[in-house]
Amino acid sequence: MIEIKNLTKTFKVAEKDKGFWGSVKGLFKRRYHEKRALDDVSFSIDEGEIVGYLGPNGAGKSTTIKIMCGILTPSSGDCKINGFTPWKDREKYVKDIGVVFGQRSQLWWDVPVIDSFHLLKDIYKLPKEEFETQLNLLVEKLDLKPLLHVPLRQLSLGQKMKCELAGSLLHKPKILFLDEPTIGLDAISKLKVREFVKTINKEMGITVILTTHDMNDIEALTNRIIIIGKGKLLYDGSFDQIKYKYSNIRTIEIEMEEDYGDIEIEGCEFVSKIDKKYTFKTADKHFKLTSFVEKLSKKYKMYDVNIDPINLEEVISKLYEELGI
Amino acid sequence: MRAYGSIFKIRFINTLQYRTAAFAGVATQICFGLMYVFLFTAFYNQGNAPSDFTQLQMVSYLWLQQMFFAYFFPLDQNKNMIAQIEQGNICYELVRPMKLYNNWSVTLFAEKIAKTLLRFLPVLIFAILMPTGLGIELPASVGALMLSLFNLIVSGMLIVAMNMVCYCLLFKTMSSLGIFSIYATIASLLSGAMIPIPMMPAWAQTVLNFLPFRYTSDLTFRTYVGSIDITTALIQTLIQIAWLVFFVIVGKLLMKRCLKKVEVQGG
Repeated sequence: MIEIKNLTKTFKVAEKDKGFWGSVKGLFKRRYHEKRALDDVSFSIDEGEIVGYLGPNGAGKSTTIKIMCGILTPSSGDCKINGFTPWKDREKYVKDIGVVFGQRSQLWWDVPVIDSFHLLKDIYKLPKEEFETQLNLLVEKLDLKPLLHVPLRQLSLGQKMKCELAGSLLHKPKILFLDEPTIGLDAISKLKVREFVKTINKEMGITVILTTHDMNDIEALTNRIIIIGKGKLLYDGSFDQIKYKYSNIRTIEIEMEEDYGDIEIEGCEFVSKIDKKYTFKTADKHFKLTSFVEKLSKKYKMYDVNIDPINLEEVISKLYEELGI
Repeated sequence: MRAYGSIFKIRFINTLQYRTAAFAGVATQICFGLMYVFLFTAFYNQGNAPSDFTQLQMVSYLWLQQMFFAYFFPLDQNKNMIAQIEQGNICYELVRPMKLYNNWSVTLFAEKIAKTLLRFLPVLIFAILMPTGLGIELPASVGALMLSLFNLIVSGMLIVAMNMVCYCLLFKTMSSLGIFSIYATIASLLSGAMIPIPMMPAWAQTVLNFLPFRYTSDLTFRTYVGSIDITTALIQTLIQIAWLVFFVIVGKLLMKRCLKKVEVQGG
């Protein structure tokens, strides 16, 4: 469905000398240096997949997404999505995709959300009935009813994101691009966004490509990840594999309902206990939190479980080291 | 087409919200109108009147200028569009199945009309109530009125088409302040918004005939007051249309080039 071959994109970045005279000189003579945002990136994605597209800031994630959306033209390489080359057949191609950029808004700032939706309906030339059905479905799934008649500027970030998601799906796209959809959201909103993405993928069969810095997004949604760094493709494969390969010791914090004294349990080392808060650690690469919790819960009453999330930056920097970049 | 209609509607309604700005605008326009009328009447009383532009025509011209100030303003700075270019929100415009050029033109035109509708009527009423010699006169003829209405509409489109070229250049400079303010000042002068063109020296009028700017407000107002006869007005209307076609083509070509080279960095 998505086929990307040897995609390369270079930007020209203007250089300026420092200070006043530097600026004056810049008026007459500009020096440029080339920045390679994407360097020979290839991958393919099948219909109905959810793919996490990861990398540190400035790695080229957004550039790739923008090329796949037809916004940017690459310097070289090929990209076929749904049989279209996005930047060449932009207007025809974009009917089949939905896009949410977490840091930007596609809805109109000072009109009620429903007006924005109606405008989108006309822009995508949706038949009235089809639009109403899809809208009702989305309103129900995302619990949008109380938000529809409020101007966008009065909504909270989480509410806005729900509306953005609905806006990107009104025209029933086959592919959904999510560029940092959970950025800045609180825990509940994040959970809702994740749950929703999962549902639309399952029920509507929409292919989802998402970029994020929050590993919990990935953990909740998919196992296939693509990692890029400094414009180069570093990894394409299973998330678990990376996770187990690069995460060493993990700590698990558990808050019990009562004080049980010291607890010995197989597979995990007891570290410390403050009041009712227990800390365990493990170096086992195949450690499964669920089975551990299950074992514990047979004997003890637990109040809260917390596992330190695997640090993406740490994983990537380890990958860098290994790949010598 | 329907989509553009909807964009027109939403922009129109949106602009109508800004009533306070419109009240302020009306007050300013009336003050400026009075000031200009007194100023140029003083010139006429000194015996410096141009032969093809009577005092009554001049006064009507000045009031029309104030009535349609927002409409003929040479460069509408749409904050949203500028921000899209400068900050990269243009991403969203580009993932829509529509032409960005048309989308933005419709936006500019809708806002222009909305702003004008909020402002022109109070100024018109004021100008009608002014005593003869200081207020607006009836159009030269029914034909002149009809033609000037047509000129009015084409003028709006012409200004939008010229603005679109400016917005395309903004893709290159990335900073609206310089290019937009220089353009707005020059275009105001050359379109007769500062000094009515019939009152400029002959050589200047000849030069301005070869530039697009006077085929907006100046042509419309002069057709209305009858300082040019209908035949001349018709010929100049054709020139006006030719300029419109020219700027639409240039704008579309520029836009195509810009979008090919557009770079949205970060975020």
